[in-house]
Amino acid sequence: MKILVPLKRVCDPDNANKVKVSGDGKAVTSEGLEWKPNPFDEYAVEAALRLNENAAKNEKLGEIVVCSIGVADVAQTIRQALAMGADRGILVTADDGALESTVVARALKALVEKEKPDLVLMGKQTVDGDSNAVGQMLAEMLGWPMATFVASISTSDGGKSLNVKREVDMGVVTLKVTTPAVVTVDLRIVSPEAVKNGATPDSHKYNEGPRYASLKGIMQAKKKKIDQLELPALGSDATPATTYPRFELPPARSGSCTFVESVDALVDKLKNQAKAF
Amino acid sequence: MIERPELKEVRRQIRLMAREFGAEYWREVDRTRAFPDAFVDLMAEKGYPGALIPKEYGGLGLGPSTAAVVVEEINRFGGDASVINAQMAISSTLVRDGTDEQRARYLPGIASGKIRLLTVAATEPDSGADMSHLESYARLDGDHWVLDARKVLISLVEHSDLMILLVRTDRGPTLFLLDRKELGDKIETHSVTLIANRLTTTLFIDGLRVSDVARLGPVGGGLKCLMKGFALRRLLAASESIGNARFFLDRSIEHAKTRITFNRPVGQNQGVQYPLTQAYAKTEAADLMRWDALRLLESKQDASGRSALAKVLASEAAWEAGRAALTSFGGWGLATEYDIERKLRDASVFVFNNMLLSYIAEQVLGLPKAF
Ligand SMILES: Cc1cc2nc3c(=O)[nH]c(=O)nc-3n(C[C@H](O)[C@H](O)[C@H](O)COP(=O)(O)OP(=O)(O)OC[C@H]3O[C@@H](n4cnc5c(N)ncnc54)[C@H](O)[C@@H]3O)c2cc1C
Repeated sequence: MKILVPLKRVCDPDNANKVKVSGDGKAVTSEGLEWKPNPFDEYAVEAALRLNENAAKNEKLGEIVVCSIGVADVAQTIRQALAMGADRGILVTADDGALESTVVARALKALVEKEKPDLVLMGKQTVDGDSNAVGQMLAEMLGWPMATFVASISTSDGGKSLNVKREVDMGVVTLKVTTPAVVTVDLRIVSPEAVKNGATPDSHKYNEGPRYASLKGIMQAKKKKIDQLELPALGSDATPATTYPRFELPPARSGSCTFVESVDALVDKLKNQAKAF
Repeated sequence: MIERPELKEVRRQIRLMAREFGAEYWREVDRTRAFPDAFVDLMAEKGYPGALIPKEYGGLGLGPSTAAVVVEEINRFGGDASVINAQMAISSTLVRDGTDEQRARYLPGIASGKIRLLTVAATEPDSGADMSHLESYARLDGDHWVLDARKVLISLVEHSDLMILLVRTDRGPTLFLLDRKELGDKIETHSVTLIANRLTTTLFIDGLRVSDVARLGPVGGGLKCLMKGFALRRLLAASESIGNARFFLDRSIEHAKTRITFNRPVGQNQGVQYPLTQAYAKTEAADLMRWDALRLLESKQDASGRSALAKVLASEAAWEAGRAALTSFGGWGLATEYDIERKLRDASVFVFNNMLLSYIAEQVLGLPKAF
């Protein structure tokens, strides 16, 4: 199967509390923070690798193309996915600030038309904007079937369709989607038995989480191809549908803490002091 | 200095492992004086033991810079790189001086991590650092050798499938490559507990008969064979030390910014700032020296002097950074839960530099030979 995995870099999610708003309030700045791959996108890369291999025989099947839209440095983030085992990369250069959901979805649509993958496998959302929109927009623009918040995938009909489980508020929804399709993944897609592809024995248990790149993988990634394109050259419209006029940090919390003696005292304080109910 | 992007990625991958192998894991390994099996297995699965082994023997044929950043980064995140260091460094003697048969038999297994070659047994009770007076002896008996050896402070021998042993013969010091499976009851080990978890033992070999196939390198060439690997070993020791130094600095700087006493961060006091700054300066200088030595080694130039300088500077910088960490942390620096005390013990094993200083004095400064 040919899988396209979009990958975005985000500023260190473990240090999100260090994000600041620029002086003019026009942008969120993340100076001094490290860039990391969006965790959900890394899960998508891992899921794509599991779909396209026989893990028991250490054999690769199909092709995985990783694409990112962003500044030239993003090539580094793409290489990280190539080191894990993806085959090649595409970098569409654009400013970090220009990556509004519709712009990204349109660019991805143009890439899908160019690459013709069987599956677009992506994170359910990025942990910077947390918009949770691109996958849904892309499926709509392509007119493709879509499954979001996917926690497990097993292929059927020789990969022509996917049985997926979606984790939603009411519980778990089981769906069968025919490819080509857009699938967005949730955290549990990287649990040991979340992906079954008919090639790796069903009894195989992966390690939890995205795999570490091997030393060989890291060295091979240097030589893998990353095509570079510019947003206008893709012919997709780069005007954002939403704009953000102003950002503000939430007011700082007072940080005070009072200990109460009993549950009754707690209920009383919640009711009469905090007016929580 | 701009580091090659693939080395940055190696660093990042090692740091990712810290999530799975965090402080709890290393504290427990240290407390129980255990071998870090699970971590070593993961490193093997990801191909690290094969970093320096040539491609034709199943390795990756990479340069020492890769090994250097690997051990540095493990120590920097609070782990202990000693086993990985041994696994990568010691096999280079077999790569250089092994026969085709020895290489073909062992290197692929070492590269994949299935065979562990973690031990060189050289030090003896009565001669210590003085390798010119070995008592361990190999006697030629027909076409076999009969080995008698007494060695002390030997690391990891109980966890190693293969061992390189240095003994005297009638034609000078000579190395043997011994397979533990073939040693049977001819070998006896007693553990020697050190301040740090180095799994050291006293080792006795009594009348072991081995064929000449077990000899590694020429008869009488044992010290020379070991010495050819010294630049690499010093650079990995330097890199481990730089990792330790950066561990102390990272933790201390964070602590100095956030620990409030007398209504201000402890790091606002010059008494805390200066030791950290001094240690940082020395660490950076050692790091530059290390890269200069690596550059020489990778371009096949003579790295002996620079690697010795790098080892001395880096081990002292780490020790000084550890001391500065104690100033930043105060009493908490001695509590196991902050890991400073554990890393101080780890850093202590690198501070013995007299032999290297003599070497530098003679070889680099041209002073008269001390011994
Ligand atoms: C953690 C650890 C792991 C080790 N692992 C191994 C191993 O795997 N294999 C192995 O073979 N050995 C190993 N050793 C042994 C190590 O190589 C020896 O400790 C070292 O060679 C010094 O020998 P010694 O301790 O007997 O000191 P001695 O030789 O007794 O020296 C004592 C002190 O005097 C100094 N000194 C001696 N002679 C001179 C001189 N001429 N000029 C200036 N100073 C001098 C020394 O530097 C030292 O500080 C290990 C040691 C440690 C601490």
